[in-house]
Amino acid sequence: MINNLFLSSSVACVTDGPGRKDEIERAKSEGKDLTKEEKQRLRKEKKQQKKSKEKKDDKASQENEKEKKPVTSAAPASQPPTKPTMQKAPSAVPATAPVSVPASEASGPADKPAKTKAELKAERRARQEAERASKQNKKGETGQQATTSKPKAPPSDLQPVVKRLPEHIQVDNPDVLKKLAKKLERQQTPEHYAAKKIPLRLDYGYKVSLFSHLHQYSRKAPLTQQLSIPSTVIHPAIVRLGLQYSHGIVAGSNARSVALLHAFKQVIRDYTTPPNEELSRDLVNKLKPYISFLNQCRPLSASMGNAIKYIKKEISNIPSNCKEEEAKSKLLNDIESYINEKIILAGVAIAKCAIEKQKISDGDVILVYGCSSLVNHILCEAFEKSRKFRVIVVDSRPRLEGKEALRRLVQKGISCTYVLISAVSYILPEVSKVFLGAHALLANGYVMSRVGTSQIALVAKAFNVPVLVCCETYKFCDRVQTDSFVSNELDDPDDLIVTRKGTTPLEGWQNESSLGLLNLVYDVTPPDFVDLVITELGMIPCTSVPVVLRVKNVDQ
Amino acid sequence: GYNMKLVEYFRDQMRKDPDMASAVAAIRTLLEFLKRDKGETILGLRESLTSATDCLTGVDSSVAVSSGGELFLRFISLTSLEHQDLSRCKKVMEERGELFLEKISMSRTKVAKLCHTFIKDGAKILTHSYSRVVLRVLEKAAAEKKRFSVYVTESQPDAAGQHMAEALRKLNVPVTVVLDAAVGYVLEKVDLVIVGAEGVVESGGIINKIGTYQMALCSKAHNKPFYVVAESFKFVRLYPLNQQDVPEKFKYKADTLKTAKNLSEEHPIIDYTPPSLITLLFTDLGVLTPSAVSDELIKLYL
Repeated sequence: MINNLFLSSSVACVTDGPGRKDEIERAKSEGKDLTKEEKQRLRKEKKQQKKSKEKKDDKASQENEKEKKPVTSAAPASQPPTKPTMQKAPSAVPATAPVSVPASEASGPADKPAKTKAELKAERRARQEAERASKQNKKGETGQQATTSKPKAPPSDLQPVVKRLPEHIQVDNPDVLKKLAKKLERQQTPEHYAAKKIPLRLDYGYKVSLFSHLHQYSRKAPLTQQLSIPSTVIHPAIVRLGLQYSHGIVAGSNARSVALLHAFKQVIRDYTTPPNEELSRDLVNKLKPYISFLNQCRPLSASMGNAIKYIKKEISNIPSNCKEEEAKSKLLNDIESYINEKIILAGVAIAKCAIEKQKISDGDVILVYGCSSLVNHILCEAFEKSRKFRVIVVDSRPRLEGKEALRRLVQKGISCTYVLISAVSYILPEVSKVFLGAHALLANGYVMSRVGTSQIALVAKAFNVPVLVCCETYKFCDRVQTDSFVSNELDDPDDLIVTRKGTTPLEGWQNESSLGLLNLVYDVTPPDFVDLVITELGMIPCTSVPVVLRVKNVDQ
Repeated sequence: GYNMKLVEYFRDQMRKDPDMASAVAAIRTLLEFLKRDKGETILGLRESLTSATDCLTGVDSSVAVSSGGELFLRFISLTSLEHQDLSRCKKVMEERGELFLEKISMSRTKVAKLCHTFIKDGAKILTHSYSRVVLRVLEKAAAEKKRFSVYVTESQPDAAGQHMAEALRKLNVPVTVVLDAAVGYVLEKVDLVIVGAEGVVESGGIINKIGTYQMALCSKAHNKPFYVVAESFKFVRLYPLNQQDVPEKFKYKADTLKTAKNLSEEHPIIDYTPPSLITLLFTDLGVLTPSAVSDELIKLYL
């Protein structure tokens, strides 16, 4: 179809004389503008076309197909934003003139459905060119051009930029859910269609109204049950990882990031570039469904988000002339060095900093909450450097992670005390320092950590006990949050149910209309309660997090 | 032998110009040491400078001397990366050292220029002990024909407050000396509190003569602004969490550290004021809030 058009248009070029020259030149200058604006517009068109195509797949109407085809074939024709565009555009302009004549002739006597495909296409082209030309004459208009298929108001420069909420906190909005389902459907290799796609995980149970904008999944219904076997869309290592996440087998910020990176290493090892594709682009597209799948199993943490950003950047930075084996080994090395530098060595540096700068001195009574791999590492290191201190481990339901921390510390030989969080105000007068781990550090200095952390920081402040947060810099994120409601994670509400002596009082909680169970995972601590943050770059006050982010961005 | 000469030179500098900050004297001494150094390698130079700084802190154990020495050392290490030839390197270091000294000799004037506008006509100011920077600020305010009166704490054990009162009387500023214990009593009459600092720490807090922390706590309770004036060479890479966390080598005088058998029986001469009690810091880098100090330190040291 396209070739025919060009042949006819090139013939038209030869026959028409110098009168067309200025038109061609105008089209050439337009051709340059065509690139960005045209690309944007046509991409939007394509998306819309695909959507309408899917909707009308059942009702296959000829008319709609005819309508779509001219536009879709016109779209790829102008898409490559290189020199060919400029050559095509001027050839298209004179083509419209001779072709529009027969089209207008045809439109006169004939009815709409009787038009041939070529005529419709030519008509459409003519309209587009005319519109483009008229828009070009009026200066100061922005690039968006109203297409005939879907009339849109062109956005002007004066309209304020509308900030959109991220999708994961709009669960109570049905449109967003539909969009998410569609997105998951579309993230698949083109060969496999309907059957093998990433399933949408359904929410479970009654959600407390303040948190109804978040997902709440049940552990008894893992996403993997809905996957077909064999799942050719998702790599088995990723399926295993997703299951480990959703069941809490792999838990903790560092552990999840390291597991993710190892799984991605396996994916890269098993990856082969399909023919006519570039590794740098195809691999990133391959990773997208995996990330959506993992997100459905358990929402991604800030550290995982940063790791994924790094991997995507490394992949897209691979030069196109690089051989596949080289590229793969380079990527594997990059991931290995990321794990080594940002997680392992950072932990060593933080421990060294904490010990050398006398933050753990003899006779200290240190309070820790839950199980943070970094804090445990620091305490073990300090104990090895023969500092005399004792530890108070605070724990809370339903996760009871403190038991794991207690086990690790006692194994080293550190003398520990174990209390539940309800006893924190009782035990705090004995405490000289509080060490807390962090899940993420937000750009306004707030610390996002396991639920209960902010409570401990608050009580410690009331008792004038210094609070130290230990956090590697790869957990710093650009987000800003001032409360724990806006963005959080809701765990399985059934975890809160406890069975004692054979009776489970909350067994029928779903039947009670006014009863809701809330199992929050994270909370945010304001920077006024935190005295010091120890990172591998040194000791900084909580308010200096944006400085570190700025320095990091400059480095990159 | 070499160390003795160093100490002599340092003491000499302090005697010649009593108005000079001890950190500046230390840096001047180190610069002189650099000029006289006969070492052959950069590493050797750095080592000898470190030992010289340690020696100086043995004479004057204040935070300022240690911070000045550290700044000079860092500044030297940065220069050493640029040139390969040692003698040319040393020449550049000496030139830059002189430039550095010139710059920091202007810092008190800069601070005074920034701070005097915060003293309104008819203000009553409370200050603590003897601080040359605060004196310079009050001089500038008096020169701008502002009328104000000053309350100075006596500041035992060395009664440095009396010294401050003398200096202020020479400027014809009405001054009252109060007991250290009378800070809470006098605060209701006072409009603002200005103190100097011996060291400014990474958190934005300050280390200053004992009694400053008390004064800061009382000002917070009375909702009076608590201002600190300090030059930028006093910024030090410490991060104390509480009073106990301040290293002992700063808490006591140098001779006490050497001779005392049991330090717990000695009286500390400095204390730490946390950043939550400080309203603003006036430095030659500008007027900073306590949280901005960390930003400036990162720029200075990294």
